[in-house]
Amino acid sequence: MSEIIVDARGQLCPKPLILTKQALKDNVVGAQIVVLVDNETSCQNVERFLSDNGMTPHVSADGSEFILRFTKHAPELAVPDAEAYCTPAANASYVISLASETVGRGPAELGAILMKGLMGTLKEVSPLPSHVVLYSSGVLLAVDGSPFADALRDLEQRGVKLLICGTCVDYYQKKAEIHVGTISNMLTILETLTRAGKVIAP
Amino acid sequence: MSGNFDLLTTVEYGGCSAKLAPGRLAEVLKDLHQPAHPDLLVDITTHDDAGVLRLDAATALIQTVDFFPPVCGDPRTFGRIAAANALSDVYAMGGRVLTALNIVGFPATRIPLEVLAEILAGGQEKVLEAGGLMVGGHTIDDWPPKYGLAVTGIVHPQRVIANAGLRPGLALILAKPLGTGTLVAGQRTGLAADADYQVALETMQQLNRAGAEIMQALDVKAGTDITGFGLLGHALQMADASDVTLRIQASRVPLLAGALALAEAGCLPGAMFRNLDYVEGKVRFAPGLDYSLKMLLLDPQTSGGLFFGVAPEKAGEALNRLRDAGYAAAAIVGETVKRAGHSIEVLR
Repeated sequence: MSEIIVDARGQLCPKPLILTKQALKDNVVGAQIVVLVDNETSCQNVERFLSDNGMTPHVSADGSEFILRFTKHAPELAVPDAEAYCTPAANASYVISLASETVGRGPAELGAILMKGLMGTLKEVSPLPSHVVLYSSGVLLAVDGSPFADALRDLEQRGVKLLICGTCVDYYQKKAEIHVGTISNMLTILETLTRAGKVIAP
Repeated sequence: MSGNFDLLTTVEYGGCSAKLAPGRLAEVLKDLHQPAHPDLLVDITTHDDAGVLRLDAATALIQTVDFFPPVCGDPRTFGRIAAANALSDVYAMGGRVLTALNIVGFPATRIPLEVLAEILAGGQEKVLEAGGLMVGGHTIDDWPPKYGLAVTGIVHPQRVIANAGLRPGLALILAKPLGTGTLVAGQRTGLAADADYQVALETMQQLNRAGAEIMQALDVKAGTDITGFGLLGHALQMADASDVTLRIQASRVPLLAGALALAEAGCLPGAMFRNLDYVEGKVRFAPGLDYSLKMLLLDPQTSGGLFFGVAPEKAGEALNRLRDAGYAAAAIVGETVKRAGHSIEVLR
């Protein structure tokens, strides 16, 4: 396959990058692309852009001219889904809301068994929820000595944000016994639930 | 007539993109030691927006200076933007403006003198709007033209809002949308929609005065304004000065209309890469974070918005007040947590 030449000499930043991106868009995977620039900053920026996006340009210099050679490696650059960021409410994020120590409205014994199952399995779910919200007696799941405190901590370490209702913690007088998650307030909790793509309340 | 002269014909890059790379600046500043002074409340060490000196128990003096080459073609608009940008450093410290001095570089030939008159008129407008007095200035023969202000303000010594002073558990608020650097670059390369560019110009002319008053009313202790180092560069300075970790949720950061599409098209101002180098290793980016969005968090802002931490129970009120005061895009963009690992975590 012949090389695609992008001549960005004489172009000011960020024009060389715009032309590079255009060439990536216009050509198929495997295309050999050569970008010519005539200032070092543009060269560095294009090189950085390409390596950030998983390509390894070969850079050579000829006096004040720089040549970047690379191969288009994938059909799309990393995560081109711009829409998801414009409308956060419509993205795939979801929140799990736990308002009780147990799951469901059946017998407490069954509810406790289900909670154990839920907590044990949640970390396997892909994608993970963006947040887990604990309120009402659900906050007791997070106190020291709860069989679930470790599972919650584990989720937190995986990037799940754990919001714990501050009013509820105060009601049960457990503030000193909670060492996981963030003690939060109604505004933050409501905002989190409002912005979530979905709210799951098992 | 000045109306026909396009100031952008004089510069290759403009606005805060013209700043020296932050890393290189830090290299130079590290050898400049100044003896501590009991009344010097804010000095150069915390990368703050202005110096603050206590005069007496009720008054501290704020001093700051900022200037740059043209960011837009119209001289009066440039004057307004440069002045709003310089005045903002007083607001970022929670202060109010007393006086300002013009700082001007302007060529003796090649540009009609009326252009200078327009730039100065734009600056004067903003100083008046700030409730300040223009008391003089200094002009040198220079190319390309440059304009800005040295500004003096005051604040109560106990009410200084600085980079240091965040504690864990605060909500982080950004008052203006990001993307001015990208929109300016997009306009220069002919890619930006004119309507989007006009909104960017409006945003840059907007004073942070009302925002500063709201910060004080809500007892905010730590804040800054977002300028050349981008949201993450300034957030990094606050995180390190305060010894907390900032969690920023990228999807909640307000962006100017058109900015994301421009970034998608590859319109990434070079200063973004300088800012990326600056924050590298100190910021943890969530896997799968959109590349263009990540780069916009590093977009160099001219006359950017206030960024501050507020007690979560006051966050809703802060947002309402900011929006009522004309900062329509103000948003909660994250929170502070106990320092752990990185200075900043960027979530998707």
